[in-house]
Amino acid sequence: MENSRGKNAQQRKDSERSALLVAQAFIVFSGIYWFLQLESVLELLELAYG
Amino acid sequence: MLTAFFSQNSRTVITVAVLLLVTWFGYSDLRTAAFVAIEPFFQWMETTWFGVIGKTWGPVFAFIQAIHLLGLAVLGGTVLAGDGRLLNIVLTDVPAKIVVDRCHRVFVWALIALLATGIFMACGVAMKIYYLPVYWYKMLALVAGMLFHFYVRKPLLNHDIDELNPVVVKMVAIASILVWFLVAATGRWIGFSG
Repeated sequence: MENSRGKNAQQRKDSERSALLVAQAFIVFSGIYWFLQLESVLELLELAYG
Repeated sequence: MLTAFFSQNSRTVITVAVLLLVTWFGYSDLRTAAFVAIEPFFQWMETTWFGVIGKTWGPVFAFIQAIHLLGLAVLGGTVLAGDGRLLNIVLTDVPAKIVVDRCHRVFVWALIALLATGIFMACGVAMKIYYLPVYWYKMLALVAGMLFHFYVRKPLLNHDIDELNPVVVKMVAIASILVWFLVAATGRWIGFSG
């Protein structure tokens, strides 16, 4: 019983760690991607309208 | 000792390996080689029944596209409801587990509809999308979103949500919304291009 609870806690920690890693990667990638897209739109607007 | 470490952290180790592999692939020459090698497959897609029907009968393409967009709307709804609940923004009077589980069931059917109609539509405009960089961003986001949903998010939320670290749960919800937003946005971008 105690062993099974310990194993479950270990699996939960493992799931949390992998989720945290991927979530961080997605959030950073999205931030950079949309920042670059917005920046290119602003550059185009500046070229078109000064 | 190494075996024990791997068995206790298998999900984390595999996740790190996949992230490193994807990053390496993105910056390697293999990506360009794969892009060139896959061109005949896209040419073949246009010659299939789906490709011929998609190119010849506009109403059929429009009908399938309508189902695709409805699928996307349903999928977006399940993501916003499920992840909104994890962020404690919507449906706060219903237990998170119930909302997440029910949204997952609908999510799977919406994803099946999206993939089926998406393959048909891709056949109709295969060479156009092959040369669109945004199409490849969409595929990257779609594969990342599916792997994230089934390999990371679902196993995490199978545990008792109240026992999970709330910061991790909220970050997973934000990441999930962002990745499916990217899928939807790049999808519409394909429609807008050419």
